[in-house]
Amino acid sequence: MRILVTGLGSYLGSRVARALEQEPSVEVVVGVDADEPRLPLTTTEFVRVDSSYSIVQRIAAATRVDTILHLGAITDSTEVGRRALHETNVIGTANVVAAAAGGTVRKLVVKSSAHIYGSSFDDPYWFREDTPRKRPPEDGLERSLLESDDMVRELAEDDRRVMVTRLRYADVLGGEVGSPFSRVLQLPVVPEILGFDPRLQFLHEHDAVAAIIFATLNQVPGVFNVAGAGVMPWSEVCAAVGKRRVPLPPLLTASAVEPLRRLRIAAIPKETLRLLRYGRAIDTSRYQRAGFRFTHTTASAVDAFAQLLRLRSSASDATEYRYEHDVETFLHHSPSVVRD
Amino acid sequence: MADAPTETGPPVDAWADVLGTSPTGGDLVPVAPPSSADDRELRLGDVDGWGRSERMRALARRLYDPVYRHWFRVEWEGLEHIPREGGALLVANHGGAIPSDAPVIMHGVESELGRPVYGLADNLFRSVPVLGTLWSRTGGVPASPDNAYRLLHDEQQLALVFPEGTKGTGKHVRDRYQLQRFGRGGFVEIAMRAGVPIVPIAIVGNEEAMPIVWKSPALARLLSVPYFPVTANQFVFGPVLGLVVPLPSKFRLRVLAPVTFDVASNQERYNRSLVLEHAEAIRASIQEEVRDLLRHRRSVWFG
Repeated sequence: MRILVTGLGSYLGSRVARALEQEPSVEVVVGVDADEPRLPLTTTEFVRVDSSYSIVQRIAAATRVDTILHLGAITDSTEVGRRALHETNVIGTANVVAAAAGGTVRKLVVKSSAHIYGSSFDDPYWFREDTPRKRPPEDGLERSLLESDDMVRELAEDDRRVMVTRLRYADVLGGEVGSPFSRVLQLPVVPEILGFDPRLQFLHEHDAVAAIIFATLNQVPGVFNVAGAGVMPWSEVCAAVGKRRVPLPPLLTASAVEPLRRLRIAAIPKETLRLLRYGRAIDTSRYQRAGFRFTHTTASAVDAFAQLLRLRSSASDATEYRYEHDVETFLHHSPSVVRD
Repeated sequence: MADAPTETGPPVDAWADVLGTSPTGGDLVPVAPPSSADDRELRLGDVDGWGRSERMRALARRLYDPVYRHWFRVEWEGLEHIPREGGALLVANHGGAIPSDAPVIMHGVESELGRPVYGLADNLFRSVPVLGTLWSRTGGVPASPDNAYRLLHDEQQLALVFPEGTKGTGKHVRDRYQLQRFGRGGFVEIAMRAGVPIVPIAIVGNEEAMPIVWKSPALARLLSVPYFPVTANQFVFGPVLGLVVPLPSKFRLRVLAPVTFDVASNQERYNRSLVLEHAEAIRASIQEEVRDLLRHRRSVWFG
């Protein structure tokens, strides 16, 4: 297999590339992103591109990839501004879909988010892949994810040569992944919305990587929810990681957290605030029927995260990897390097 | 439910030679396996997938028991009709401005049979702080076909539904015990799809616990609630307390024989006329039993 990965600069993208390097059936991994890889990669080629992946069509044609993993969608609205969000999620996906349609590509795996379903007071308790969302998109993040999802769905319907897998992720919990909930739970005290104790669902970072590898190596066309089984109320999540809760007012909640963002204490995205009010759960039985085995449930993902935080409070992490262009070029291409 | 295949391309084999299918064994993320294969050992609380907490229910039952026993003096007939295991949909008539029938049925079945009952209802409170959470912890579940199917089919639980909805509770006192339309028969369709019986329950006493003597459509619209009542209770207990304290009417409940359906479960759709026929038959049988209970009732307060 010859694989192109977008979003290589994300933790998830780097992890997926590293896992693919160890697969005997994978010949080539090319990763593109505006940011550098987060982990040292041995055979993966990194190409720096703009945040809307405008050049990805040329790269796909030049490398004759048969598989594209589109992992670059932004699912945390505090990461970038509104314009940049549209650039990456909508324009970026349009470019990736263009690269996948026609040409040598036979498989496209797209990582999206359960934010596609929204979170509102009249939601069903469990979203299946075909459950429609209850309300129009609340903000730019949801709108961009829905638009991007539509484009990918259209490709799946129109171009039968390309097998399309769409994955909708619940919030990932993990030490390095930098998701909103991982960030929030590392604050000295964690916010709750007064009088609300929502049902939440989490995905262990191992399953987050494994779900993409599974779709890459197996034939699973369609759309699938990806989340740890079960739900947990927010109060219990906070108790499990040993954090005290601080109530936010139920009215004007977004304005109440704005000073925290301004003072750079904590950036709590709007979509996370919505989840802290009404929660959300997605049904993952379809992906399990397709053959995927989750290693973690929501409860064990929370438990693993709590263990990690306890470890970190007593021992510091290993030094962080930093991408150095010259070093990587040398290691990848110099004739002096011995490669097996 | 039938799993609608969304994107089905050419046969899967067509891709196999291009893409290969080796299962991965690599260490994707350095990860310890879950500390326990059993989630229950990892959990600190007992809130289930529906937001219900048995501990909270037990507390609620302890607090409600005096009301159940001494205020309403609830008496049941035919409790043996409620299955001790397996899913079943309990269906009852509905009445009283703030209906006491739901807590009475949930309390009664839970304490007599020792199995949880989930109350399907319009979640008017889910966006109200504290109240919404309490409602959910004590067994309230938003009434949607999907939630009902999951409860009844996947989890084989008891679910309680009042098909009259707010048309039942918003009745003027002069219309008491006149069963309203049973919706579009959605409850029958769900029971058919889930393959579970419907257990009809006739109840008297609920209407007199909080009778509506006057309604204000204008105020209801203003507050965007289904109805804005003035209740007899407000004349007895005062305008505020009267909105929450029921009158001590005598509650009698009669559980009817379970209704089973001679159709295959898990179908996408069911014959509309068959569904409506069953819904109407169940409504009529509850109405008949309610009238029978009323015929034998000598006093609203003493039964």
